[in-house]
Amino acid sequence: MSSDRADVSTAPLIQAVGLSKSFGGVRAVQNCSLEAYPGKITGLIGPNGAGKSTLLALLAGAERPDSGKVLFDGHDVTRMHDWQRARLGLVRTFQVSRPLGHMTLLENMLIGAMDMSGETFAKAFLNRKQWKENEERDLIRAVELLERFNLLRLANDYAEILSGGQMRLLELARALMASPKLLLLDEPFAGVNPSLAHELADHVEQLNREGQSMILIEHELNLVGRLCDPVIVLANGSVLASGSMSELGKSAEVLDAYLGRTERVSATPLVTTSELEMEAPHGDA
Amino acid sequence: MSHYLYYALTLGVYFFVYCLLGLGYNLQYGLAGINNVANYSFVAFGAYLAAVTTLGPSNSLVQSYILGTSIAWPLPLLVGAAAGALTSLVLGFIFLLRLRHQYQAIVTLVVAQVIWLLVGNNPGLFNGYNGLAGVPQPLESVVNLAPVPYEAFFVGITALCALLGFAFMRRVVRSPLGRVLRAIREDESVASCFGRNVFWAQMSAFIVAGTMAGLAGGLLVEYLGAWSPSGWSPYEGFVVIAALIIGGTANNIGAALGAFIVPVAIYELTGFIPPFGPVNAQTIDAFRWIAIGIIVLLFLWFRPQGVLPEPRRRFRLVDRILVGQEPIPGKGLFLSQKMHGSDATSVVTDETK
Ligand SMILES: Nc1ncnc2c1ncn2[C@@H]1O[C@H](COP(=O)(O)OP(=O)(O)OP(=O)(O)O)[C@@H](O)[C@H]1O
Ligand SMILES: [Mg+2]
Repeated sequence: MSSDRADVSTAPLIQAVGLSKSFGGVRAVQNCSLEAYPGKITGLIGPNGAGKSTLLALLAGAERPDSGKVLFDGHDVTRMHDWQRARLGLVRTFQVSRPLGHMTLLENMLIGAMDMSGETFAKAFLNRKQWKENEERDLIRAVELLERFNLLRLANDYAEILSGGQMRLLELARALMASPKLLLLDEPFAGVNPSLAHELADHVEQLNREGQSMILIEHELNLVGRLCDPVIVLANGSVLASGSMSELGKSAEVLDAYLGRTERVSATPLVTTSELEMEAPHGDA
Repeated sequence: MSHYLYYALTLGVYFFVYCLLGLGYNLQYGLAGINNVANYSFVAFGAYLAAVTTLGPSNSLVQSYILGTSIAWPLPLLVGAAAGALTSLVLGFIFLLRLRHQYQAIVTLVVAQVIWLLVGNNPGLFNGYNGLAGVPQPLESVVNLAPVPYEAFFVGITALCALLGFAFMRRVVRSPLGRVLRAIREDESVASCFGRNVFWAQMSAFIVAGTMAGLAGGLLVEYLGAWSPSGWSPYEGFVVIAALIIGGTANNIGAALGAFIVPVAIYELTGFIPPFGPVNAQTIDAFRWIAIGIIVLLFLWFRPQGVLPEPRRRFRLVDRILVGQEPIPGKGLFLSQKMHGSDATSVVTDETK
């Protein structure tokens, strides 16, 4: 768990400055500024419709902001397309899984691998030896990941036959294939059965220990508390508060934002400091 | 007897030319997911350019056209292919930048119609609605053959082009490029958020498909000796689309099968229906279109993937892992051991440590 906050001096990996985005009359994101630091899992929480996914889309370049800037890894990426940002190492998953249905799981994974050594007409024909080698290498990584996600059995099947939960798993596994500098995860565990979700959370934690930086949107606050530090709370399109989960747990504002708006979250009590402490040894084991 | 042989060879020419067209259409529609109904415009440009570079300078008393020269065969074919490529590049900016799905299809249809009207109504371009005639057949004087052997010779030329196209497409489908194009067809945002430039990937497929169409047009005009708007109305493109839908979208063999079923079997064989009672040559021509339309409709309803569905690419490495012939990479253990209880698992993982 990345609990030591000693390295605050390091430059943020991604920085959003005053981002705003409206859809017609709906102001989905209003003047949002946030930073995520290398080596951290930055949590993004907030009620339904708070603008979390929209913010993620603005960071990834799937949506253009009405105003504001996005800086990633020393580049101003505000005007860059999503594919250009992806090539810089900024990769996202979607809240609603988007499998490439009529392609096999392995082919989905190879798209995630972002190896482009055989992807133009010229390279496909002239660069054969190179791309075959790369494909072999990526394939082995894909098999490892699919095994970890309990999907290996289906590796050569079309992604369209997967169940909803399996599609979520593929979504996450495919994004991991890219080994991005920063991984933007939009509710990766939603709809995954609890024991596997727990396992995946371990996996995400392990990746983070290996240095993977992430921004994670998640409603399950136990998981957020366990994985994320810092956590940013979004409500009505603006940043309401940020800090470690235990700090946020004490904030009346945050409690209001949650308890006032959604039944789903109010059914799950906001995580307490003692719960966090109970989770901690498990994560460090 | 030689009549039948001649006729069979004629069908051979059509078959191979439509193979080439079907393969090109498979590239843009079957793989890259571009909904282009203007595909026959590229054939037309290929044909016109191959014709004017064979005919020599225009004699406006007979027929007027631009760019008239006379270059040695097979250069006119290459010019035709280049014309297809160039038109694709230009129109690609209209078709591929913002348009998707049915809107894309509608715009391509409109553009095809505009091109058709422009060419027809500008006699200075390619002799208007009268079109170009008198295009000599390739190497006629060199090979110096009787009609039937020459016909066989021409079948050979078209077969060679179709085979090259087939070999080319086979490689494309199995390459990472083919995978990216299919990914774009399935969900372009996914391709794009994994670093693929969707526009240029589609554009390159579109240009290559246009090149194949241009080459096919060159072959057609060299075979027919004439080319005019009545022979390339936007509806002709429908034959190619119908062939791919029936044969099997995203399947190269399906494209060839479709080229046999639609332009050869249905289109040509209906020509054998003898006129009887109220049925004359015109009604038979109408029957032909109705038949193609109904068959396409039936396929879209009951077998949208076509006779031969898209082949699934299996990776043998994984098949070997699944049947236990190879260990899971990074784990050093076999799938069966993993499945059969924790004892086997722990023993093996301990051994590998
Ligand atoms: N493409 C769109 N067109 C119109 N409105 C949109 C669009 N995308 C998002 N919105 C609106 O923007 C607001 C924020 O949506 P967003 O998806 O970002 O919320 P969220 O925080 O991710 O919610 P959830 O937790 O339910 O996923 C919502 O009111 C939504 O209706
Ligand atoms: Mg969301």
